[in-house]
Amino acid sequence: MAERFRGDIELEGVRKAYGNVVAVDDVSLHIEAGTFFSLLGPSGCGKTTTLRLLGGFLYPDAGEIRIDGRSVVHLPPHRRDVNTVFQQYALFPHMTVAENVAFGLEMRGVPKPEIRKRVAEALEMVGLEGLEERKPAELSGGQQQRVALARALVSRPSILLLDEPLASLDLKLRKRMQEELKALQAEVGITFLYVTHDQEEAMSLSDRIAVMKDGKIQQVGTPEEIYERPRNRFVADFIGTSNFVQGRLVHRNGRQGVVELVGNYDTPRPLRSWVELEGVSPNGNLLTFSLRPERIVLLPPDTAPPKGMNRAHGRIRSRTFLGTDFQYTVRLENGLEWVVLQPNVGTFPRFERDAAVLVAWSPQDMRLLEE
Amino acid sequence: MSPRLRRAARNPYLILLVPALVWLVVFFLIPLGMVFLYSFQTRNPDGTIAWTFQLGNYLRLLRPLQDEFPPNYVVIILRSLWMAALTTFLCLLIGYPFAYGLARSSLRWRNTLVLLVVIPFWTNFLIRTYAWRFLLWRRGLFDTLAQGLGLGEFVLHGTPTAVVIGLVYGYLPFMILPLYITLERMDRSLIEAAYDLGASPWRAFWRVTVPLSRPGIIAGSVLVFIPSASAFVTPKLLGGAKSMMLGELVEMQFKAVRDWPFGSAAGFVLMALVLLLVALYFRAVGAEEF
Repeated sequence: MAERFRGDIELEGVRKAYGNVVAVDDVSLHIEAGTFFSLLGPSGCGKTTTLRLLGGFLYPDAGEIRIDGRSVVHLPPHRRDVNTVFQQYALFPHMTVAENVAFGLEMRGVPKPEIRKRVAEALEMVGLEGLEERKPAELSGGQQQRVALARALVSRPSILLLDEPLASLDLKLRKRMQEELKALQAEVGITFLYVTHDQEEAMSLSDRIAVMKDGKIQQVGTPEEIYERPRNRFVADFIGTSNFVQGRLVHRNGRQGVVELVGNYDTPRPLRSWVELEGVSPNGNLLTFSLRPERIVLLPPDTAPPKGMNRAHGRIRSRTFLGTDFQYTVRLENGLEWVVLQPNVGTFPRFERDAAVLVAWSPQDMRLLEE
Repeated sequence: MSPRLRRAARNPYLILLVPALVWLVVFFLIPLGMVFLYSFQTRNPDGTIAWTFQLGNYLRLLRPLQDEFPPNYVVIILRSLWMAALTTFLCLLIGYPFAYGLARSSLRWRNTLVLLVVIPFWTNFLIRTYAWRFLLWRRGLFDTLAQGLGLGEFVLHGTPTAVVIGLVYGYLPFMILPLYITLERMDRSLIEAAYDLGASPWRAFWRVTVPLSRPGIIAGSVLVFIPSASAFVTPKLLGGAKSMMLGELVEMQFKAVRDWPFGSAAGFVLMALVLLLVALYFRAVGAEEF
């Protein structure tokens, strides 16, 4: 295990622009030592720029970057206690696996016998014993990935930066490397800052995630927090899928309220839903909620809905079999179409296309989003 | 026909090689064979060839003759190779930083700079070499400037230095262009990786950039060395008796002396030495990966 308080990262009002494109816009972030932290967002959101600012390859236009409380803004890459696993691994093609791994130690003036010992340890850690004398071109993608990891970790940095390291691997290998990465991080106990556009990857690996868009941080939290309480429409849409429901508050009773859902057309009786409102005081404004597809229950039309749940009548528009789930599109009585996910389990009724259904959902699953 | 040849014969694309092959056979191999034949003959007093088949021309090249001008062919051969090697080294020394800067400059600058490298080719090589003569000889630009500044005489014309200057000038683009191409397509993240792993810019350069630009160094060196070793315009115009090169000797034998057999033998020795040295060079730098 590394020492406990190494690898603490603080970004304060960091800004970086390329010409008039602002890649990183006033980003403030605290990453505690020893966390597996992901920067998640679509391409061009500024996540890689943030990583490069930390690695020292870019100089911020404004703001402060501190590692373990010390400003590193003016330190060049080779003076930072931070190593990077590059997207295409960036292994030195003219060196063997062992020479690649030894490079960082050599540059730091570690004596020869110790280099040999630590290279062997690092290669063992990533399961590459026996490949010391190969050239990178003679390795598979997964093996190259491991060499890159061993090379970055062998000099025991306090922070490892990973720039979409699994992006060029096929799905099966990617899943396996995800598990290995997670185990490796637990083993070495240093901060991993992981950049990815793959929300599933970020969710399964990270202790905490920062979702980015247009150079700005949208939300920071644990994977659960971000999934369960997305702050805005972008996060709710980017992490998993959401049905976006708009409504006007017509009644409020403490933390509970009633909204009249905005449909595609008016119905004789407006569709209403109970919702939970935490600390917000809306006044007849149009509110937007996220409702996750798996939190909606479909029932035969004549059943009594569970107590305390909202309900609406609908009709199945389409059904897609996904293996573990069925994905339905349901048209509600007011014309709204919602995506619904029902587990492929015997206890859940199945519906054919055009079947009439009762749609039910809980007030607490209606997540109010910031506009 | 061997199976390999039969397989090759079925490859329809081989027909694309025919025009170049015909050209090479007719205009390169056949004349080369003729020159090879000439090199074993002697010369009639009127300059025509006497078909005598002997090794005299080769022996004459290797035997230092004191009473004849130029006095010593071995010295000329060694000087040619030495000046070519020096030219290659200087081109590498001057060309590498330029090619590096070129590969790292913005796209807008890059085109301009590549143009600057290529522009000299728009003017005849002979004219450009004459221009150097005006710069280097007595009361030329450099001499005038040096004298005007009270630095004394500065006449390089007629010296080996002048020849090397002219050769470096003439062949520098052949070094820069292949270096530029390898440096330009080099994955820049490799250098970042070196910095990231604690290498200072200087060490990253020697440990990563230079080894990875080896194909460019090899190509550039060969492209400069071969024409330098056989140069005759530059030594003739910028050099003197003390800087005579083998190419100049060949040219002289064919034109002024009209001893075609001896000129042919000198040409063959030059070709053989250059091939040998290039082969040794390839082996030394491990060109199998090139």
